[in-house]
Amino acid sequence: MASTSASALPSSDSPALKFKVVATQGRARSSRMTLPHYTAATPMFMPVGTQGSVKGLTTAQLTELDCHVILGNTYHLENRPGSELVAEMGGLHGFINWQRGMLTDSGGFQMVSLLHLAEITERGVTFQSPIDGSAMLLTPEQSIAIQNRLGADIIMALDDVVPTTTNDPARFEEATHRTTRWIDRCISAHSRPTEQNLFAIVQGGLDTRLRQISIQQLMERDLPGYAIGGLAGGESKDDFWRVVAQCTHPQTGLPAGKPRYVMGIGYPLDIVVCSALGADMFDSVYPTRTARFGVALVPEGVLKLKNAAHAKDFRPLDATCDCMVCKNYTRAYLHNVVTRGIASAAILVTYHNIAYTQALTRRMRAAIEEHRFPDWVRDYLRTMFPAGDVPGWVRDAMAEAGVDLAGVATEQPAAGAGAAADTAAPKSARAEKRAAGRARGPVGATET
Amino acid sequence: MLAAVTPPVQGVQLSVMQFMENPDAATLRQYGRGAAAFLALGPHPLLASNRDPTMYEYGTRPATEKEVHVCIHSGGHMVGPARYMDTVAALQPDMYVTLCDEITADSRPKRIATSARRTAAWLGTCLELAVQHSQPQPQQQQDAGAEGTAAGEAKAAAAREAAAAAGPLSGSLALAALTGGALPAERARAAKAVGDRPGIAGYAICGLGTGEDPAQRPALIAASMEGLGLAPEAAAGRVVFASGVVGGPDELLEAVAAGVDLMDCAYVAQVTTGGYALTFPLRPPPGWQPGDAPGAGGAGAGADVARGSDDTKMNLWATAYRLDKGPLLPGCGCFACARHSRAYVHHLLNAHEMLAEVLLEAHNTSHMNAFCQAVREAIAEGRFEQYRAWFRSLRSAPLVDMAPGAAGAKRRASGPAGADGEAEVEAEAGAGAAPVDLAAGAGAEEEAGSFGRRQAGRAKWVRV
Repeated sequence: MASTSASALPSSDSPALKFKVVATQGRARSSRMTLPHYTAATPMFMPVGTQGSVKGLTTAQLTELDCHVILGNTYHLENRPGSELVAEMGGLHGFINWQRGMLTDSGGFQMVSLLHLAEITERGVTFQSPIDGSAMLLTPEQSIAIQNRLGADIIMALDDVVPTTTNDPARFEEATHRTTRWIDRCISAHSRPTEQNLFAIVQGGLDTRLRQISIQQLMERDLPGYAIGGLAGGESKDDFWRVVAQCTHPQTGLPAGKPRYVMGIGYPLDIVVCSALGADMFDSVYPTRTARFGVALVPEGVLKLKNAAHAKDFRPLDATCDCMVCKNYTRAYLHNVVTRGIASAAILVTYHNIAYTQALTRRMRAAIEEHRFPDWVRDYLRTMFPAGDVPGWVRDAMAEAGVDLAGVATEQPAAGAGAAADTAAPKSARAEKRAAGRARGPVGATET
Repeated sequence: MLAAVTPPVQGVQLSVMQFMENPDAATLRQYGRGAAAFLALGPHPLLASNRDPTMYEYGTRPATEKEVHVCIHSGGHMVGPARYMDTVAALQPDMYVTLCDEITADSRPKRIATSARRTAAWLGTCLELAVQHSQPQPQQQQDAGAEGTAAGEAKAAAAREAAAAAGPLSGSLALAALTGGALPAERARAAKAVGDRPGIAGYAICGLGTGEDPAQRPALIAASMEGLGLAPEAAAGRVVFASGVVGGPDELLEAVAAGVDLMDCAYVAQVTTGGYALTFPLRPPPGWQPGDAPGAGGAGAGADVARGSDDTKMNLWATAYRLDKGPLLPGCGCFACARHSRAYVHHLLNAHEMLAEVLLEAHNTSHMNAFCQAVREAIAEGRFEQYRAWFRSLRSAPLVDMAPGAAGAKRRASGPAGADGEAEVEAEAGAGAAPVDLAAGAGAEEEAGSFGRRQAGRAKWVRV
């Protein structure tokens, strides 16, 4: 049940971070996180500026877009221009001229994304640079030292990340315990605990036992915040939400008074589900990367702007969006420039996609604070799934989160969708997808 | 980002030919509000020319008596006057250039004569079509235009009313294309065939920047303008546009000296792509006289081979900038210089981030704009020749000889700086979302005499 009396709301006070839940409804919470450079509001989506720029956008535009925290990447920035140079330039904030919150990832994800170039041992990870082939040894100590020089408000521990699709339980066991050993090394190496917040990252793959071990062990270190890692790597949605639910569980999950950061989440639907389960922070390259492929985020799902259907569509991308792009440009224009591969087209769609995610999280926070979050979720899902074909995993997750989807999600798909094979003659998977696509109309749905 | 350019953008250029497909005239007509709205170019005057300065659309296939061949993003198209003016009308520009049989500077006399004949014929056709496109139009399918917000619908309704009241080209200024290759006599002949006629608001000097010697250009421009045979009062009221004449600030200045008012410019895009920031000084030191040392009065970084800079631009790829916290150009107040450092831009270039070009283009556009503003001020204050002499003194050898005794007997005179001044801005090939480049201004009063008394000096120039 929603608990609204101020004294009952969770909060925490760490040397460089204050976290205060201002409203809850079910497991969802709206909070304020005071960082050295900025006070962010959560649930919050953080765009990724891997190499010191959120692709194509100026920091002035990121402020316009109401971004609270953006990301930089330890591994890539150490490659170029180098963390010592960044430190000389006034840290990442000074170097790129961004005044609000900054978070740096530890380089852990590169263990997955650049796995073919990485060698992982107890000591650390040796990477072969994709640029010039030189070797870089990233130990917990090294990662923290680099992040101390970069100067972000939140720094991430170096964790042992295993791709969730790995079929090797022993590897997951090893990684869970190693992550704990590495957090201790990170804590020892951290030289700026009053200026930068070290977050630990829960690992354990899809194994509830390992995840619980990780949660408990990391909580014992009493860090300012915790992340849920090792997801967004190809696991099924069903597995994914259960891990998030376990980590955000009111009794046995991560502490309620501290921020919970699900790493690598960027599909709007995923953000909504995780927020309903009680997560606070998200990052992903998805909104910005998909923009560069000409894909715009809209309430109904996505618009694939390269599609010829948009050539004479003079509506804005999203009628409910009041960003600069939706106020000035039409789908037809964006179709033209996207199909011709003009760089500024990518920038315009990127701008809108970030505006979309910021509006999404702003509306969620307002809904939670105004105690109408379940209604808001229902409206959101109705818009995205007008035929009622809300995916099973979303239904299950919302049930766990205490959000009733009656009237929104139908048990059987609506007549004509043909997505379920129950009532009709057995269809091939492709025929089902085609039928589902036809029912949905010209706007493509977010792929899950 | 267009709005962030300082000094402000005065006008935008785009090429009609880029709108033969994706989007084409039919799409734009259905949209109903013209290119300025479609590309969200802002309130600036829009000039639709027949050529994109960053890519030469002509020459892939020969033109015929009826149409030219252009090669654009989607492939080749044959374009005659009807299709051309149809597209111009759909763009709803403030000014447009008529269809020209574009030829390069190495064309032979016979080809030049053909070009002149066709261009003059097409001019007549274009002007007739312009009249038609200026008539009130029957209500077209404009219901698809600009839906969405209430403001958008109100705008669309207003546009429909406006369209019903007057055609899409009503109020648009026609600039007659003047061809003639690199032969002054042919230029004069072609201009004479065009002359002055109702419906023409100005002239577009075509075919420049196609390989001719920059030192030759003033003579070619003068031949075109004087060949028109206009009375001084008539000439003073005509706008002169030239495409392809800005390969750098020196060339821009020489074109202005020769009497050109509006220019588009690929220079900004080219230096931006190369990772350069423009740094050439914009103003002479106070009290500078010809014969003094150049001494940059305005901001100027100076040549430094070790850093890959010359006295016009600096190369941000140079490792010398790795730790440089200063702005691209000290004293420049543009968007990029106000917010970011050389070190950051250098890093962005190395990391192959798009933002590098965004920032460099913002700076370079602003710098060219500021240059044009300085030129306009010099003209308005009656010291253009002195300004020009100073700018030329920055070079070890000038681009163009100044003919002895040639005073500024041009269409340059006293008039408030930038009063009618419009400057051209280059739009990316049809896309328009890219920032823009600005060039000269101040079409002003005519002084005694014709357009420009420039004798063709012998080519005696060395590019620094």
